[in-house]
Amino acid sequence: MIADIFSNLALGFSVAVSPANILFLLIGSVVGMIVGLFPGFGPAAGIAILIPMTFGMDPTSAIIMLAGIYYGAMYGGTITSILINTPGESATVASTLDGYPLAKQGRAGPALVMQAVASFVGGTTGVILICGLIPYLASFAASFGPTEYFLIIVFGLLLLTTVMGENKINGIVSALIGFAIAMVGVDIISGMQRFTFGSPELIGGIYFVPIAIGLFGMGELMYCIYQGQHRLDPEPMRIGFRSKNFWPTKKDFTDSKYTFVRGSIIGFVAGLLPGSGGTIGSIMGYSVEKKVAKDDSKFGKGDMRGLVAPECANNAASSGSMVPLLSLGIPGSGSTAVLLGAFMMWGLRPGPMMIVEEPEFIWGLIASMYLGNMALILMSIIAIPFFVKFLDVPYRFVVPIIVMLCVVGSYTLHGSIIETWIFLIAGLLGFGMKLYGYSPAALVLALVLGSMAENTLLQSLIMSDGSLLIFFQRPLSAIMTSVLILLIVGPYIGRKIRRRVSATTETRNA
Amino acid sequence: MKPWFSLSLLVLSVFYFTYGIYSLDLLTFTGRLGPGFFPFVVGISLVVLTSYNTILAFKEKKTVLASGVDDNESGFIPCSFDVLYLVLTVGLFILLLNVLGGLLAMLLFNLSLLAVFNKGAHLKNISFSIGISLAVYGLFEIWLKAGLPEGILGL
Amino acid sequence: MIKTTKLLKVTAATMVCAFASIASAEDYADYPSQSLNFTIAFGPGGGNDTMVRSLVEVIRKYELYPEDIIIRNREGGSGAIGWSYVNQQAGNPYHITSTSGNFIGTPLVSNTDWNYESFTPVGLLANDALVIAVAADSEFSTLEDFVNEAKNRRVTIGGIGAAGPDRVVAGLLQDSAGITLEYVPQQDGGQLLTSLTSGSVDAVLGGPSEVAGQVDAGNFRILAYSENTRSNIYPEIPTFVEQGYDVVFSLPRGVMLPADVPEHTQQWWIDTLQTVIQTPEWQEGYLQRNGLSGNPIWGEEFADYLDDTNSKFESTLREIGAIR
Repeated sequence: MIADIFSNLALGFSVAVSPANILFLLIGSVVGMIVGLFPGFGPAAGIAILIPMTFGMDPTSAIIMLAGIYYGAMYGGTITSILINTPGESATVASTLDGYPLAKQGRAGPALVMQAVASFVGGTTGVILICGLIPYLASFAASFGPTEYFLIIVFGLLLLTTVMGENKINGIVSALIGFAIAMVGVDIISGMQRFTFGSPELIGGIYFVPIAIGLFGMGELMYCIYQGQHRLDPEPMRIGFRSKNFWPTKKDFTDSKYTFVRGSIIGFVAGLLPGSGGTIGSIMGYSVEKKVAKDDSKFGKGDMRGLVAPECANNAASSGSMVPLLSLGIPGSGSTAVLLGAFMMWGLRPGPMMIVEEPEFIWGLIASMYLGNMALILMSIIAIPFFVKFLDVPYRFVVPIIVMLCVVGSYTLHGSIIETWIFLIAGLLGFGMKLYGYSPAALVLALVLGSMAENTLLQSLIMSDGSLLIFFQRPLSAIMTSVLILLIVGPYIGRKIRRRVSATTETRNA
Repeated sequence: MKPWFSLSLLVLSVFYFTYGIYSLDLLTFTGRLGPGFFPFVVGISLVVLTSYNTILAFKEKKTVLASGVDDNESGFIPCSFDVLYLVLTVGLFILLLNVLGGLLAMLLFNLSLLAVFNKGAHLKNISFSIGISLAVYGLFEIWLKAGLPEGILGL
Repeated sequence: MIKTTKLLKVTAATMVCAFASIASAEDYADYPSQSLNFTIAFGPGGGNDTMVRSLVEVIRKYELYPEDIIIRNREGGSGAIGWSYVNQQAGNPYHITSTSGNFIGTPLVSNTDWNYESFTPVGLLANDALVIAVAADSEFSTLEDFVNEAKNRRVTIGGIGAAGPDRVVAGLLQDSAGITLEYVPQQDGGQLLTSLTSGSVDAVLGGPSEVAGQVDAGNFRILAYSENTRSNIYPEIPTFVEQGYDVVFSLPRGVMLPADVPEHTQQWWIDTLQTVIQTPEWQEGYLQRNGLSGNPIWGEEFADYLDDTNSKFESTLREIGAIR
C-alpha cells in the first residue's frame, strides 16, 4: 500500500515537474494569494474569473493553475483578516478572532509569519492524508451506480443547507434558485427541452461559469461599492523583514505545537465531508482549541494558538475537500463547485473512474499540491511586505480591473453575448443575495449538483420500475440511506429523548 | 429595498412555476416522473418560501416605519447611486462590446467609470484607462487568443 | 468605389464571414484562393473536434489546401448554434463543417433553422458504430442469452442521452428481437461505465473505444457490433446482423459544405478528402486510434445515407415520445 503511494507520487511528480506546469503553478498560487487579499474575493471568484484565461492550455496545466488559486487564496485570505480585521472570505472569519488583536498589539509580523507556517502545515498534512485515502476510495468507487450517486449528492446538499447562513429559509431559497436554473436546457432523461423559450442558445442549459462570475465577482464588487469602499483611501502599512518584531518567538511555536496537529486533522476531516469545508473546519478548529487549552483567558485577545488552529484547519480542509471532489465528483464548497465545473469543461469528469482512467492527472495534481504548498510558504513570507502594499491600491481602481476581467471572461467562454448578459443578471442577483442574507454558494452548488441529483434519481427509478425500495435493496445504498435517515431524524429523536429524560428527572425531583 | 428584492424573487418564482406547469408534462406516458416533475416541485417550493419571505419583509418594513427607527444601525450611508452607475456602465459596456469591439469598449468603460468614481483626476484616469485596457486586451486577445469581438474598427 | 473593393480584398482574410454575402454572386472559378473557415459545432475535446483537427493536420501536412485554415469551435445547443452559423453562409464554399449523430438528431428534437438537408454533402469519412456490452461475470455470454433473458424478465440497458444514437440502437434491437428493454439514459461516458461496473444496469450501449478499457481489464464483454460488416479494428466482435438481428446503425462522421455552393467546389473537396483518407496519418493516427471503421461514401450517396439514418432516428424518437 505504502509502496503504491510512493510509485503513484513518483508518477505525479513526473507530470507536475515540467517547466510549464511549475510556471502555471506559481502563477496560480500568486494569483490565488492576491485574490484572497481583496475583501470579498475568495477562491470561488478567483477561479471563476480566471477560467477563461486557461483556454488553449493543456488541461493538466490548467487544473494545476486553478488548484493553485484555490489553496493559494487560503494563504492570502488571512492577511487582511489579521491586518484590517476583514476576512477575505468565510473560511478566514475565525482567523480574525485572534489575528487582529495580535496585529493591534504590534505583533502583525509574527502573526503573518505564523499564519503562513500554519497554512503550510495544514495544507501539507492535508495532501499527505489525501495520498493515503484516494487509492482506498478508488477501489470501491466503481461500485457507485446512479442510486449511490443520488444518495451522496443528497448527503452533500443536506449538509450544505444545514450549515449555510443564519437564515435557513434564505439558504433553501438560494439552493432552489440554483435547482431552477439547473433545469434549463435539454433534459437528459426525457430528451425534452425545458425553459429554453425556443432559443438555441439555451438548449445546452445555462452554463455555470457566468453565473459564478456574476454571483461572486460582480455581486461582491457591488456590495463593496454599496458600502463605500471605493471612496476610502487605504492607510499605508509598513512591515519589513528587518523589523525586530517580524519573526515569531520560540514561545509562539512551543505553545502551539499540538495546535498544529489538532487544527490540521480537524480541518481535514471537515473538508472530507461535502458541504462542510473550510468555514466549518476553521470554526471547529478554533473552538476545540479553546476548549482544550488550560488557560483560555487570552483567546480573543491575541493568543497565537487562536490564529494557528483555524489557519491549519482551513488549509487542511481545502486539501481535504479535494478527496470527495476527485474521487466522487462531489464538491464540498462553493470554490470546489467552481473547480468541478472547470474540470468538466476540460472533459475531466471527477469521479470513481477518473482515478482509474486518469492516474497521471490525479497524481500530477496531488504532486503539484505538495510543490504549491512549499512555494506558497516561501512566497507568502517573502511577499508579506509586498502584499501589504496591494492594500494601498485604492478600491476605485480595483473596480474597473475586476469588472473587465469578469465581462471579458464571461464573453470569451463561448464567445456568447447572451452569456455575458447572464453574467450581469447573476451579478445583480448576487448583490441582492449578499445584501439580504441569501447564500450565493448554495445557489452555485445546487446549480452544479442539481441536474445530477435529478438525473440519478430518475435513473434509479427507471431501474427499479418506479420503486423507492431500490435505495434499500443495493447493499451500499442501504448503508447510505440509513446514515442519511439517521442524520435527518437523529437530532429530533435526540431532542425528544432528552426532553423525556429531563421530564422524568423533574417529576422525580418533585 | 428588501421587500422589493423578495417580491421580485416571488414574481420570478411564480413565472417559473406557471411556465413549467404549462410547458412540461408532470408524468411520462408510461406513468413515470416526467420532465415537468422536478420543475414543479422546485417551482412550488420557491413560490411558497418567497411569498413567506415577502410577507415577512413587508411586515418588518411596517414595524420599522412605525417605530421610526432607521434600519441603519451602523449609521453608514450606502452608496446606492454609485452601485446603480456601475451597473449602467457595465450594461453599456456589454452592449457596446459587439459594436465597438473589445478594446474600445473597455477603454470607454474605464473612462466613464473613473470619471465618476475618481472625480477630477483626468490625466491619471485617462492614462490608467489606456494602460489597463491595453493590458487586458493583450492578455486575452494576443496572449490567450481568446477571440474578443472585433467591432467596427477590427480591434 | 474601386478602391473600396480593393481594400476589402486585402482585409478579406480576417473578414471573410462579414462580407460573405457580397461575394456570393461569384462562381469561385479560382477556388480555393482564400482562407477556409472550418466550423466545429462542439467544444474542444469531443469526437467532432478530434476528427476535424486530425483532418486539418493531414491537409496541412500534405499542403492540400493552399491557403490558411481557421478552425473555430462554435458550441452550444447540441450543435444547433454552430450548424446554424454555417447554414447562414449558404453559397460560400469557404465555410465547411463536420457532422455527427447530433447533426441528424438535434433538428428533430428542437426548433433549428436548418436540418441535414440544408447542406451540401461532401463525404462520409468514418463510421462510429456502437456495441452492446455486459459485465464479464454476468450470465450473458451471447446476444441470444441476453435476448432470451429479456423475454423472461425486465432487462435494463444504459446508453448516453435520452434521444441519441444509443436510444436508436436500443429501439432497433427491441423491434427486431421482439423484446422490451428498459432504457436508462446516462449523462456521459463515465456514468455509463459506472452504471455497468456497479451492476445497476444489465447491459450498456456505447462506442467501442469507450468500453475498450473495461474490456481489456476483463470487466466487460462485448456481445454485438452495430454495423453491416465486422469492424477491421475489432474483428473478433460479431455484428448484430450475423446473429440474426436487423440492427445496423452508426454515427455519420462526415464533412459538409453550406447549401448552394458551386458544384466544382463540392467536387474539389471530394477529390481532396479522397486523398486525405489514403494517408497513413488518417488511417492509423485517426481511425485506428479512435476505434472507427472507415467505409467512406461521397456526394449523393452520402445524402442517401443521411436520409436513411434520419428516418431511423425519427421513427425511434417518435416511438419514445421525444417528438410528436
